[in-house]
Amino acid sequence: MNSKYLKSIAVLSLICLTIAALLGVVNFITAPVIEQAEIEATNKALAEVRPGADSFTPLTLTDYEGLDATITDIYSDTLGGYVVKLTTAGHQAGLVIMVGIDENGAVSGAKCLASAETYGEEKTYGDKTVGATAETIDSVATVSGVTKTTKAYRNAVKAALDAAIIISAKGGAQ
Amino acid sequence: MEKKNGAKELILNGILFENPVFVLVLGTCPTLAVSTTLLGAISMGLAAMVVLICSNAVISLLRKVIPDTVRIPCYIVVIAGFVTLVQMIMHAYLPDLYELLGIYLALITVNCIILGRAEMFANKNSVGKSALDGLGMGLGFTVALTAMATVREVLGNASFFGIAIPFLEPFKIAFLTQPPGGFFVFGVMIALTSFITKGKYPKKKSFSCEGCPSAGVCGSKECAGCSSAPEAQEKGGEA
Repeated sequence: MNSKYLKSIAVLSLICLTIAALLGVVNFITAPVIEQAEIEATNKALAEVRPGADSFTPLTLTDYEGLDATITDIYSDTLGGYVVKLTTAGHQAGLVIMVGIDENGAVSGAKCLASAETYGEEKTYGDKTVGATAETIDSVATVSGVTKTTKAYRNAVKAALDAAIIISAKGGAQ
Repeated sequence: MEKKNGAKELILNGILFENPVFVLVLGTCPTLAVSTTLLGAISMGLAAMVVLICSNAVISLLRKVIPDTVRIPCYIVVIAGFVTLVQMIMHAYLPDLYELLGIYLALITVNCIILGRAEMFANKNSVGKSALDGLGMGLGFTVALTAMATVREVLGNASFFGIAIPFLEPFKIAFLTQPPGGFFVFGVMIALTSFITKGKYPKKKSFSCEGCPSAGVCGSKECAGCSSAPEAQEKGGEA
């Protein structure tokens, strides 16, 4: 009886180890490619949400008080605007969103970089927020059927707009 | 069983006579979820097919080594391993498709077509036949998703592979892109498949309790004579 259990444990463990080793090898090969692709995607998104800006300088989040906890990165650009990157909970696993804010404090572009949501509406919802300011963002309608996801998206854009106000109030990028 | 199943029959069974979606009614959740767009449907079908072929082949290869008591955890580890592998490769080399499939790519792990074929076919047949069964079932899944997505995208969204069809725009039936529309198209497709196969499939043996993934833990009276039933396994183990 004991040998039967031991065999079961040994076989299952061996299969787990083999699969883990195989995944380790594949991860070793794909991880640098994924990392490079993410950097390129970030650069592409920066240019998309702030069209016309030549270069972007990352800001140190700890220099500014009162920023929303969902903000992971902030960049200032050559035109006097900002790009805010946020990771927020959506309906399920969450969204990674990049919001461009122009020198007048209005949204110049918003793009969803990664999503584990099931519906797909988050890919295009950002376009509806273009032109909105901290005062008007609440009037941008959510999408029926995807209310939780689009509400989370809208809140993220609002957090980005608030962040731009906080930075500007402190005299702009430091 | 092995002698009867030629390569052609195995593939044709998967595509039509034992189509996993429209005949065996397996994998309904991803079918309804990703069949709103043709690109998503075909990508999901192909990703599931790769996992099906690989997992069927490996499970068949290990069928004499894996003890019966831990066969389900072993199958799940193998299937989850291949799904993660496909995920990593798609994330690295096909990022757009990876984004498009989203959470449903990871959920291939719990797609009952894959576990069902591992239990019903791969653990009883040779590596070659199991891989062919994976190919047939994978093609069947892809064909089913494609058929549903064609109807839902063209009639529901007035587009084909994301390209708008302007003359259909005023007549589009948005309901078809919603979950109830998905169930409606699914029902129509099942009826159509039944009409084509004249309702003769699936054969009873495909659904016998030996073919049931839960046979090993099922306490049903009907399972009493089944070799996969708990009592029969106990006797086999003691022997």
